[in-house]
Amino acid sequence: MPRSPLLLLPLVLFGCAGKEPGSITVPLQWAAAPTEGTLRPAGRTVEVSLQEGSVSFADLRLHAPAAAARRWGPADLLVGRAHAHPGHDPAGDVRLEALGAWTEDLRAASDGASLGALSGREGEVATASLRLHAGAPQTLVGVLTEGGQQLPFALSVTIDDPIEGVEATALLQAEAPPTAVRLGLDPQAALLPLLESGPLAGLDTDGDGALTAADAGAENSLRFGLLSTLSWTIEVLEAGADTEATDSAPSGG
Amino acid sequence: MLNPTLTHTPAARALLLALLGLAACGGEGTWEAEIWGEDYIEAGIPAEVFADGCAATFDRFDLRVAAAQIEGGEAGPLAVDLTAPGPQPLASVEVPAGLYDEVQFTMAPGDAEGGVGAGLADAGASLVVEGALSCPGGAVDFAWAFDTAVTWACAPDGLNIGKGGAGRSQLTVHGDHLFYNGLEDPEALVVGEAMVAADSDGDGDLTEAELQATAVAPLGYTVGSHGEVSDLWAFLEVQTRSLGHIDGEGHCEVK
Repeated sequence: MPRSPLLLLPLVLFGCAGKEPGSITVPLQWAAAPTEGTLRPAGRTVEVSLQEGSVSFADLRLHAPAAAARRWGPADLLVGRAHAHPGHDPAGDVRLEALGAWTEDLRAASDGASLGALSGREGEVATASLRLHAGAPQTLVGVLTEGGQQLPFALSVTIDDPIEGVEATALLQAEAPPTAVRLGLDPQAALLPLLESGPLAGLDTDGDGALTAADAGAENSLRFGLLSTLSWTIEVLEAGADTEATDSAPSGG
Repeated sequence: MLNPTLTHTPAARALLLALLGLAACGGEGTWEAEIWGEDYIEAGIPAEVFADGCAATFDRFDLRVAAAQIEGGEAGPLAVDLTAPGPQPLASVEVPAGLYDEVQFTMAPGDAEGGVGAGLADAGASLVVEGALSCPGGAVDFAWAFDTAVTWACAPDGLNIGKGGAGRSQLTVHGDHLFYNGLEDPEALVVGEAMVAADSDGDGDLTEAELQATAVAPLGYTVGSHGEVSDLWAFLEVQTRSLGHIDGEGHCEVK
Protein backbone atom coordinates (compact mmCIF):
# COMPACT_ATOMS: atom_id res chain seq x y z
CA MET A 1 0.00 0.00 0.00
CA PRO A 2 1.48 3.40 -0.96
CA ARG A 3 2.36 5.66 1.88
CA SER A 4 1.36 9.27 1.99
CA PRO A 5 4.28 11.72 1.91
CA LEU A 6 2.57 13.50 4.74
CA LEU A 7 2.93 10.39 6.85
CA LEU A 8 6.58 10.05 5.94
CA LEU A 9 7.41 13.63 6.80
CA PRO A 10 7.40 13.19 10.58
CA LEU A 11 9.53 10.08 10.21
CA VAL A 12 12.11 11.97 8.19
CA LEU A 13 12.10 14.82 10.65
CA PHE A 14 12.74 12.42 13.49
CA GLY A 15 15.38 10.53 11.55
CA CYS A 16 13.34 7.38 11.13
CA ALA A 17 13.45 7.28 7.36
CA GLY A 18 16.12 7.75 4.73
CA LYS A 19 19.70 6.86 5.59
CA GLU A 20 19.96 4.61 8.61
CA PRO A 21 22.23 5.73 11.42
CA GLY A 22 25.62 4.16 10.97
CA SER A 23 25.08 3.23 7.34
CA ILE A 24 27.92 4.05 5.04
CA THR A 25 28.62 4.08 1.31
CA VAL A 26 32.15 4.19 -0.02
CA PRO A 27 33.31 4.42 -3.64
CA LEU A 28 35.07 1.29 -4.84
CA GLN A 29 38.05 1.81 -7.11
CA TRP A 30 40.60 -0.27 -8.93
CA ALA A 31 44.30 0.07 -8.15
CA ALA A 32 46.46 -0.07 -11.25
CA ALA A 33 48.88 -2.98 -11.27
CA PRO A 34 52.62 -2.64 -11.75
CA THR A 35 53.54 -4.01 -15.15
CA GLU A 36 57.27 -4.29 -14.51
CA GLY A 37 58.90 -5.78 -11.47
CA THR A 38 61.68 -7.83 -9.98
CA LEU A 39 60.93 -11.04 -8.13
CA ARG A 40 63.34 -12.90 -5.93
CA PRO A 41 62.07 -16.47 -5.66
CA ALA A 42 64.31 -18.61 -3.49
CA GLY A 43 67.14 -16.10 -3.69
CA ARG A 44 67.10 -15.86 -7.50
CA THR A 45 66.38 -12.68 -9.44
CA VAL A 46 63.67 -12.74 -12.08
CA GLU A 47 62.52 -9.69 -14.02
CA VAL A 48 58.85 -9.68 -14.99
CA SER A 49 57.41 -7.62 -17.80
CA LEU A 50 53.65 -7.84 -18.11
CA GLN A 51 52.37 -7.22 -21.64
CA GLU A 52 48.76 -8.28 -21.19
CA GLY A 53 46.68 -9.14 -18.20
CA SER A 54 43.08 -9.61 -17.30
CA VAL A 55 41.42 -10.59 -14.06
CA SER A 56 37.80 -11.44 -13.44
CA PHE A 57 36.36 -11.20 -9.95
CA ALA A 58 33.12 -10.70 -8.08
CA ASP A 59 31.49 -9.78 -4.80
CA LEU A 60 33.93 -7.84 -2.65
CA ARG A 61 33.21 -7.82 1.06
CA LEU A 62 35.01 -6.15 3.94
CA HIS A 63 34.66 -7.99 7.22
CA ALA A 64 34.80 -7.08 10.88
CA PRO A 65 37.38 -8.85 13.04
CA ALA A 66 36.51 -12.39 14.00
CA ALA A 67 34.11 -12.51 16.90
CA ALA A 68 35.95 -12.76 20.20
CA ALA A 69 34.90 -15.08 22.96
CA ARG A 70 32.17 -13.39 24.91
CA ARG A 71 30.32 -13.92 28.08
CA TRP A 72 26.92 -15.41 28.20
CA GLY A 73 24.02 -13.02 28.01
CA PRO A 74 20.27 -13.21 27.92
CA ALA A 75 20.34 -13.14 24.12
CA ASP A 76 21.79 -16.63 24.22
CA LEU A 77 18.40 -17.82 25.29
CA LEU A 78 17.17 -17.02 21.82
CA VAL A 79 20.16 -17.19 19.51
CA GLY A 80 22.33 -20.19 18.93
CA ARG A 81 26.06 -20.17 18.19
CA ALA A 82 27.75 -20.51 14.87
CA HIS A 83 30.24 -23.26 14.22
CA ALA A 84 33.36 -22.89 12.13
CA HIS A 85 34.83 -25.49 9.88
CA PRO A 86 37.87 -26.99 11.56
CA GLY A 87 40.98 -25.06 10.76
CA HIS A 88 39.11 -22.05 9.59
CA ASP A 89 39.97 -18.80 11.28
CA PRO A 90 36.59 -17.17 10.79
CA ALA A 91 36.08 -13.61 9.63
CA GLY A 92 33.60 -11.40 11.37
CA ASP A 93 30.39 -9.88 10.07
CA VAL A 94 30.27 -8.12 6.73
CA ARG A 95 30.82 -4.36 7.15
CA LEU A 96 30.80 -3.32 3.50
CA GLU A 97 29.99 -5.13 0.32
CA ALA A 98 29.84 -4.52 -3.40
CA LEU A 99 28.04 -7.25 -5.26
CA GLY A 100 28.65 -7.75 -8.93
CA ALA A 101 31.28 -9.04 -11.30
CA TRP A 102 34.10 -7.19 -12.94
CA THR A 103 36.76 -7.98 -15.51
CA GLU A 104 39.72 -5.63 -15.34
CA ASP A 105 42.46 -5.15 -17.89
CA LEU A 106 45.61 -5.03 -15.78
CA ARG A 107 47.43 -2.72 -18.19
CA ALA A 108 44.62 -0.49 -19.37
CA ALA A 109 42.73 0.18 -16.17
CA SER A 110 43.81 3.47 -14.67
CA ASP A 111 44.59 3.92 -11.04
CA GLY A 112 41.38 4.88 -9.32
CA ALA A 113 39.03 3.56 -11.99
CA SER A 114 35.57 3.33 -10.49
CA LEU A 115 34.09 -0.09 -9.84
CA GLY A 116 30.97 1.26 -8.18
CA ALA A 117 30.40 1.52 -4.46
CA LEU A 118 30.51 -0.51 -1.30
CA SER A 119 27.66 -0.16 1.12
CA GLY A 120 27.16 -1.33 4.66
CA ARG A 121 27.63 -0.11 8.19
CA GLU A 122 30.34 1.61 10.15
CA GLY A 123 32.73 -0.25 12.38
CA GLU A 124 36.09 -1.95 12.43
CA VAL A 125 37.32 -3.84 9.38
CA ALA A 126 40.02 -6.51 9.54
CA THR A 127 39.84 -8.59 6.38
CA ALA A 128 38.29 -8.69 2.95
CA SER A 129 36.96 -11.43 0.72
CA LEU A 130 36.11 -11.69 -2.92
CA ARG A 131 35.61 -14.36 -5.51
CA LEU A 132 37.52 -15.09 -8.66
CA HIS A 133 34.81 -15.20 -11.26
CA ALA A 134 34.57 -17.86 -13.95
CA GLY A 135 32.88 -15.46 -16.35
CA ALA A 136 36.20 -14.75 -18.03
CA PRO A 137 39.63 -16.40 -17.84
CA GLN A 138 42.35 -14.94 -15.66
CA THR A 139 45.16 -14.11 -18.05
CA LEU A 140 48.77 -13.02 -17.65
CA VAL A 141 51.03 -12.54 -20.67
CA GLY A 142 54.57 -11.21 -20.73
CA VAL A 143 58.24 -12.05 -20.51
CA LEU A 144 60.37 -13.41 -17.68
CA THR A 145 64.10 -12.74 -17.60
CA GLU A 146 66.56 -14.55 -15.38
CA GLY A 147 70.33 -14.35 -15.76
CA GLY A 148 70.06 -13.10 -19.35
CA GLN A 149 67.68 -15.87 -20.35
CA GLN A 150 64.21 -14.85 -21.44
CA LEU A 151 61.08 -16.95 -21.29
CA PRO A 152 57.80 -15.64 -22.67
CA PHE A 153 54.74 -16.58 -20.69
CA ALA A 154 51.12 -16.77 -21.78
CA LEU A 155 49.09 -18.08 -18.89
CA SER A 156 45.36 -18.40 -18.72
CA VAL A 157 43.16 -20.21 -16.25
CA THR A 158 39.48 -20.14 -15.39
CA ILE A 159 38.80 -19.99 -11.67
CA ASP A 160 35.61 -19.88 -9.67
CA ASP A 161 36.83 -19.88 -6.07
CA PRO A 162 36.67 -17.56 -3.09
CA ILE A 163 39.55 -15.60 -1.62
CA GLU A 164 39.13 -15.00 2.09
CA GLY A 165 41.38 -13.22 4.53
CA VAL A 166 42.84 -10.41 2.44
CA GLU A 167 44.31 -7.86 4.81
CA ALA A 168 42.11 -4.77 5.04
CA THR A 169 42.44 -2.80 8.24
CA ALA A 170 40.25 0.23 8.82
CA LEU A 171 37.84 1.88 11.19
CA LEU A 172 34.79 2.99 9.24
CA GLN A 173 32.90 5.96 10.62
CA ALA A 174 29.65 7.17 9.11
CA GLU A 175 30.35 10.78 9.97
CA ALA A 176 33.80 10.65 8.33
CA PRO A 177 33.70 7.87 5.77
CA PRO A 178 36.72 6.93 3.66
CA THR A 179 36.90 8.63 0.33
CA ALA A 180 37.36 5.29 -1.41
CA VAL A 181 38.33 1.67 -1.06
CA ARG A 182 40.85 0.67 -3.68
CA LEU A 183 41.16 -2.98 -4.72
CA GLY A 184 44.12 -4.27 -6.64
CA LEU A 185 45.89 -7.38 -7.86
CA ASP A 186 49.68 -7.54 -7.93
CA PRO A 187 50.50 -9.75 -10.92
CA GLN A 188 54.08 -10.07 -9.76
CA ALA A 189 52.91 -11.61 -6.52
CA ALA A 190 50.54 -13.87 -8.42
CA LEU A 191 53.45 -15.17 -10.50
CA LEU A 192 55.76 -15.73 -7.55
CA PRO A 193 54.53 -19.25 -6.63
CA LEU A 194 55.11 -20.31 -10.22
CA LEU A 195 58.68 -19.04 -10.18
CA GLU A 196 59.40 -20.68 -6.84
CA SER A 197 59.19 -24.04 -8.59
CA GLY A 198 62.69 -23.56 -9.95
CA PRO A 199 64.85 -21.74 -12.53
CA LEU A 200 63.27 -20.56 -15.77
CA ALA A 201 65.03 -23.26 -17.73
CA GLY A 202 62.99 -25.91 -15.98
CA LEU A 203 59.58 -24.27 -16.18
CA ASP A 204 58.95 -24.79 -19.90
CA THR A 205 58.45 -28.51 -19.46
CA ASP A 206 56.93 -29.13 -22.89
CA GLY A 207 59.79 -27.30 -24.60
CA ASP A 208 57.60 -25.11 -26.80
CA GLY A 209 59.57 -22.01 -25.94
CA ALA A 210 56.94 -20.42 -23.73
CA LEU A 211 55.57 -20.90 -20.26
CA THR A 212 51.91 -21.82 -20.53
CA ALA A 213 49.27 -23.55 -18.45
CA ALA A 214 50.18 -26.74 -20.32
CA ASP A 215 53.57 -26.90 -18.60
CA ALA A 216 53.79 -29.17 -15.59
CA GLY A 217 52.52 -27.53 -12.46
CA ALA A 218 52.01 -24.15 -14.15
CA GLU A 219 48.23 -24.07 -14.04
CA ASN A 220 48.15 -25.13 -10.39
CA SER A 221 50.81 -22.55 -9.52
CA LEU A 222 49.01 -19.74 -11.33
CA ARG A 223 45.75 -20.72 -9.66
CA PHE A 224 47.56 -20.75 -6.31
CA GLY A 225 49.07 -17.33 -6.95
CA LEU A 226 45.84 -15.71 -8.06
CA LEU A 227 43.97 -17.11 -5.08
CA SER A 228 46.66 -16.07 -2.62
CA THR A 229 45.67 -13.39 -0.15
CA LEU A 230 49.16 -11.96 -0.69
CA SER A 231 48.40 -11.15 -4.32
CA TRP A 232 45.48 -8.86 -3.56
CA THR A 233 45.54 -5.46 -1.95
CA ILE A 234 42.87 -3.43 -0.26
CA GLU A 235 43.60 0.21 0.47
CA VAL A 236 41.14 2.30 2.44
CA LEU A 237 41.67 5.90 1.42
CA GLU A 238 40.96 8.56 3.96
CA ALA A 239 39.96 12.12 3.14
CA GLY A 240 42.66 13.99 1.26
CA ALA A 241 43.83 11.03 -0.79
CA ASP A 242 43.69 11.19 -4.57
CA THR A 243 40.33 9.72 -5.58
CA GLU A 244 39.95 10.90 -9.15
CA ALA A 245 37.98 8.15 -10.83
CA THR A 246 37.01 6.88 -14.22
CA ASP A 247 34.12 4.53 -14.78
CA SER A 248 34.39 0.74 -14.96
CA ALA A 249 30.98 -0.50 -13.99
CA PRO A 250 30.28 -4.09 -12.95
CA SER A 251 29.93 -6.39 -15.93
CA GLY A 252 27.10 -8.29 -14.35
CA GLY A 253 26.57 -10.93 -11.77
CA MET B 1 36.81 -17.18 30.46
CA LEU B 2 34.28 -19.82 29.67
CA ASN B 3 30.74 -19.70 30.73
CA PRO B 4 28.12 -22.14 31.91
CA THR B 5 25.57 -21.34 29.32
CA LEU B 6 23.12 -22.59 26.83
CA THR B 7 23.43 -24.78 23.85
CA HIS B 8 22.24 -23.88 20.41
CA THR B 9 19.15 -26.05 20.28
CA PRO B 10 15.76 -24.69 21.20
CA ALA B 11 15.09 -27.72 23.37
CA ALA B 12 18.26 -27.17 25.31
CA ARG B 13 17.44 -23.53 25.78
CA ALA B 14 14.05 -24.44 27.11
CA LEU B 15 15.71 -26.94 29.37
CA LEU B 16 18.09 -24.31 30.58
CA LEU B 17 15.28 -22.01 31.49
CA ALA B 18 13.93 -24.77 33.66
CA LEU B 19 17.34 -25.42 35.11
CA LEU B 20 18.07 -21.82 35.95
CA GLY B 21 16.03 -22.12 39.09
CA LEU B 22 17.90 -25.26 40.08
CA ALA B 23 21.22 -23.63 39.37
CA ALA B 24 20.36 -20.88 41.76
CA CYS B 25 20.39 -23.52 44.45
CA GLY B 26 24.11 -24.20 43.77
CA GLY B 27 25.70 -27.60 43.72
CA GLU B 28 28.52 -29.12 41.75
CA GLY B 29 29.05 -31.89 39.28
CA THR B 30 31.98 -33.44 37.48
CA TRP B 31 33.22 -32.55 34.03
CA GLU B 32 35.00 -35.51 32.55
CA ALA B 33 37.08 -34.91 29.44
CA GLU B 34 38.65 -37.56 27.27
CA ILE B 35 40.68 -37.68 24.08
CA TRP B 36 40.45 -40.09 21.19
CA GLY B 37 42.13 -40.48 17.83
CA GLU B 38 39.51 -42.89 16.52
CA ASP B 39 40.31 -45.80 14.22
CA TYR B 40 42.19 -43.59 11.78
CA ILE B 41 44.97 -43.02 14.31
CA GLU B 42 44.73 -46.31 16.18
CA ALA B 43 44.40 -48.66 13.21
CA GLY B 44 45.26 -46.49 10.22
CA ILE B 45 43.62 -44.62 7.38
CA PRO B 46 42.47 -47.10 4.74
CA ALA B 47 42.89 -46.66 1.01
CA GLU B 48 39.20 -45.99 0.45
CA VAL B 49 39.55 -42.76 2.42
CA PHE B 50 42.34 -41.46 0.19
CA ALA B 51 41.39 -39.98 -3.16
CA ASP B 52 44.57 -41.29 -4.77
CA GLY B 53 44.72 -44.83 -3.47
CA CYS B 54 47.19 -44.27 -0.65
CA ALA B 55 46.91 -45.60 2.89
CA ALA B 56 48.53 -44.51 6.13
CA THR B 57 49.29 -45.96 9.54
CA PHE B 58 50.60 -44.31 12.67
CA ASP B 59 53.13 -45.82 15.07
CA ARG B 60 53.15 -42.79 17.32
CA PHE B 61 50.75 -39.89 17.67
CA ASP B 62 51.83 -38.07 20.83
CA LEU B 63 49.82 -34.97 21.62
CA ARG B 64 50.25 -32.61 24.56
CA VAL B 65 47.09 -31.03 25.88
CA ALA B 66 48.33 -28.01 27.78
CA ALA B 67 44.91 -27.32 29.21
CA ALA B 68 41.38 -28.64 29.12
CA GLN B 69 39.03 -25.92 30.28
CA ILE B 70 35.46 -25.40 31.19
CA GLU B 71 33.95 -22.51 33.10
CA GLY B 72 34.95 -23.06 36.70
CA GLY B 73 37.44 -25.83 36.05
CA GLU B 74 40.68 -26.62 34.30
CA ALA B 75 42.98 -29.60 33.96
CA GLY B 76 46.31 -30.28 32.34
CA PRO B 77 48.87 -30.50 31.08
CA LEU B 78 48.63 -34.08 29.93
CA ALA B 79 50.29 -35.88 27.04
CA VAL B 80 48.93 -39.00 25.40
CA ASP B 81 49.85 -41.35 22.59
CA LEU B 82 46.70 -41.61 20.54
CA THR B 83 47.78 -44.85 18.89
CA ALA B 84 46.92 -46.55 22.19
CA PRO B 85 43.34 -47.77 22.40
CA GLY B 86 41.04 -45.00 23.48
CA PRO B 87 39.24 -42.93 24.39
CA GLN B 88 41.77 -41.97 27.04
CA PRO B 89 40.93 -39.86 30.10
CA LEU B 90 42.02 -36.24 29.97
CA ALA B 91 40.41 -34.44 32.87
CA SER B 92 37.99 -34.84 35.73
CA VAL B 93 37.16 -31.62 37.50
CA GLU B 94 34.44 -30.41 39.81
CA VAL B 95 32.44 -27.55 38.32
CA PRO B 96 29.21 -25.75 39.11
CA ALA B 97 26.23 -27.72 37.93
CA GLY B 98 24.65 -26.39 34.76
CA LEU B 99 24.34 -26.62 31.04
CA TYR B 100 27.56 -25.63 29.27
CA ASP B 101 27.96 -24.47 25.70
CA GLU B 102 31.72 -24.14 25.47
CA VAL B 103 34.77 -26.10 26.45
CA GLN B 104 38.32 -25.41 25.33
CA PHE B 105 41.31 -27.58 24.68
CA THR B 106 44.76 -26.11 24.17
CA MET B 107 47.51 -28.03 22.40
CA ALA B 108 50.89 -26.47 23.06
CA PRO B 109 54.46 -27.46 23.81
CA GLY B 110 55.77 -27.35 27.34
CA ASP B 111 56.52 -29.50 30.32
CA ALA B 112 54.45 -32.56 30.98
CA GLU B 113 54.70 -35.18 33.66
CA GLY B 114 55.89 -38.62 32.72
CA GLY B 115 54.88 -40.89 29.90
CA VAL B 116 55.03 -39.52 26.40
CA GLY B 117 55.15 -36.01 27.79
CA ALA B 118 58.88 -36.25 28.43
CA GLY B 119 59.57 -37.03 24.81
CA LEU B 120 57.44 -34.15 23.65
CA ALA B 121 59.11 -31.78 26.09
CA ASP B 122 62.55 -32.89 24.95
CA ALA B 123 61.56 -32.18 21.35
CA GLY B 124 59.95 -28.87 22.25
CA ALA B 125 56.90 -30.26 20.55
CA SER B 126 53.18 -30.35 21.15
CA LEU B 127 52.65 -33.10 18.59
CA VAL B 128 54.88 -35.91 17.38
CA VAL B 129 53.62 -38.11 14.58
CA GLU B 130 55.38 -41.18 13.25
CA GLY B 131 54.07 -43.64 10.74
CA ALA B 132 54.02 -44.85 7.18
CA LEU B 133 52.33 -43.70 4.00
CA SER B 134 51.89 -46.15 1.17
CA CYS B 135 50.73 -45.06 -2.27
CA PRO B 136 50.55 -46.61 -5.73
CA GLY B 137 53.58 -44.50 -6.64
CA GLY B 138 55.73 -45.49 -3.67
CA ALA B 139 55.91 -45.49 0.10
CA VAL B 140 57.54 -43.40 2.81
CA ASP B 141 58.00 -43.44 6.54
CA PHE B 142 57.63 -40.20 8.42
CA ALA B 143 58.59 -38.88 11.86
CA TRP B 144 57.44 -35.30 12.33
CA ALA B 145 57.47 -33.02 15.37
CA PHE B 146 55.33 -29.90 15.49
CA ASP B 147 55.42 -27.07 18.01
CA THR B 148 51.89 -25.95 17.18
CA ALA B 149 50.15 -23.89 19.85
CA VAL B 150 46.43 -23.73 19.32
CA THR B 151 43.25 -23.52 21.34
CA TRP B 152 40.14 -25.26 20.15
CA ALA B 153 37.03 -23.54 21.47
CA CYS B 154 34.34 -26.11 21.08
CA ALA B 155 30.58 -26.07 21.45
CA PRO B 156 29.42 -29.36 22.95
CA ASP B 157 25.86 -30.34 22.24
CA GLY B 158 23.92 -30.69 25.44
CA LEU B 159 26.71 -30.80 28.01
CA ASN B 160 24.49 -30.81 31.05
CA ILE B 161 26.31 -31.41 34.31
CA GLY B 162 23.82 -32.09 37.02
CA LYS B 163 24.32 -31.57 40.72
CA GLY B 164 26.28 -34.58 41.93
CA GLY B 165 26.34 -35.94 38.40
CA ALA B 166 28.81 -35.90 35.55
CA GLY B 167 29.04 -34.65 31.98
CA ARG B 168 31.54 -35.82 29.41
CA SER B 169 33.35 -34.11 26.54
CA GLN B 170 35.67 -35.73 24.05
CA LEU B 171 38.50 -34.01 22.22
CA THR B 172 38.39 -36.03 19.03
CA VAL B 173 41.56 -35.85 16.97
CA HIS B 174 41.20 -36.32 13.22
CA GLY B 175 44.44 -37.80 11.92
CA ASP B 176 43.28 -37.77 8.32
CA HIS B 177 43.55 -33.98 8.25
CA LEU B 178 47.32 -34.37 7.99
CA PHE B 179 46.73 -35.60 4.46
CA TYR B 180 44.16 -33.02 3.39
CA ASN B 181 45.11 -31.12 0.24
CA GLY B 182 43.53 -27.87 1.42
CA LEU B 183 43.55 -25.53 4.38
CA GLU B 184 40.19 -24.10 5.43
CA ASP B 185 38.67 -26.03 2.56
CA PRO B 186 35.50 -28.02 3.27
CA GLU B 187 36.03 -29.85 -0.02
CA ALA B 188 39.63 -30.85 0.66
CA LEU B 189 40.59 -34.37 -0.34
CA VAL B 190 42.71 -36.86 1.58
CA VAL B 191 45.73 -37.48 -0.66
CA GLY B 192 49.23 -38.85 -0.29
CA GLU B 193 51.03 -39.09 -3.63
CA ALA B 194 52.43 -35.56 -3.41
CA MET B 195 54.02 -36.42 -0.10
CA VAL B 196 55.57 -39.60 -1.43
CA ALA B 197 56.97 -37.59 -4.33
CA ALA B 198 58.44 -35.11 -1.83
CA ASP B 199 60.89 -37.76 -0.65
CA SER B 200 63.46 -36.21 -2.94
CA ASP B 201 66.38 -38.44 -2.03
CA GLY B 202 64.23 -41.52 -2.39
CA ASP B 203 65.47 -43.07 0.81
CA GLY B 204 61.99 -43.89 2.02
CA ASP B 205 62.03 -41.37 4.85
CA LEU B 206 59.99 -38.20 4.34
CA THR B 207 61.74 -35.56 6.40
CA GLU B 208 60.87 -32.05 7.51
CA ALA B 209 63.64 -30.71 5.27
CA GLU B 210 62.23 -32.49 2.23
CA LEU B 211 58.78 -31.12 2.95
CA GLN B 212 60.21 -27.63 3.34
CA ALA B 213 61.83 -28.00 -0.07
CA THR B 214 58.54 -28.93 -1.72
CA ALA B 215 56.43 -26.04 -3.02
CA VAL B 216 52.70 -26.50 -2.53
CA ALA B 217 51.66 -24.27 -5.43
CA PRO B 218 52.27 -26.79 -8.26
CA LEU B 219 50.54 -29.56 -6.32
CA GLY B 220 47.03 -28.23 -6.60
CA TYR B 221 46.84 -27.73 -2.85
CA THR B 222 44.93 -24.73 -1.50
CA VAL B 223 45.89 -22.59 1.48
CA GLY B 224 42.82 -20.42 2.03
CA SER B 225 43.68 -17.30 3.97
CA HIS B 226 47.16 -18.63 4.77
CA GLY B 227 48.91 -16.93 1.89
CA GLU B 228 52.19 -17.22 3.76
CA VAL B 229 52.20 -21.00 3.31
CA SER B 230 54.42 -21.92 0.37
CA ASP B 231 55.90 -25.33 1.20
CA LEU B 232 54.52 -28.64 2.37
CA TRP B 233 56.01 -28.40 5.84
CA ALA B 234 54.42 -25.02 6.49
CA PHE B 235 51.21 -26.47 5.09
CA LEU B 236 51.36 -29.36 7.55
CA GLU B 237 52.12 -27.03 10.43
CA VAL B 238 48.96 -25.06 9.74
CA GLN B 239 46.97 -28.20 9.14
CA THR B 240 47.78 -29.45 12.64
CA ARG B 241 45.64 -26.58 13.89
CA SER B 242 42.62 -28.31 12.39
CA LEU B 243 43.02 -31.67 14.14
CA GLY B 244 40.79 -30.94 17.14
CA HIS B 245 37.06 -31.63 17.18
CA ILE B 246 34.46 -32.10 19.88
CA ASP B 247 32.56 -35.31 20.49
CA GLY B 248 33.39 -36.90 17.17
CA GLU B 249 32.51 -34.58 14.33
CA GLY B 250 31.66 -31.41 16.24
CA HIS B 251 33.53 -28.40 15.01
CA CYS B 252 35.66 -26.11 17.12
CA GLU B 253 36.77 -22.56 16.57
CA VAL B 254 40.51 -22.33 16.13
CA LYS B 255 42.17 -19.70 18.27
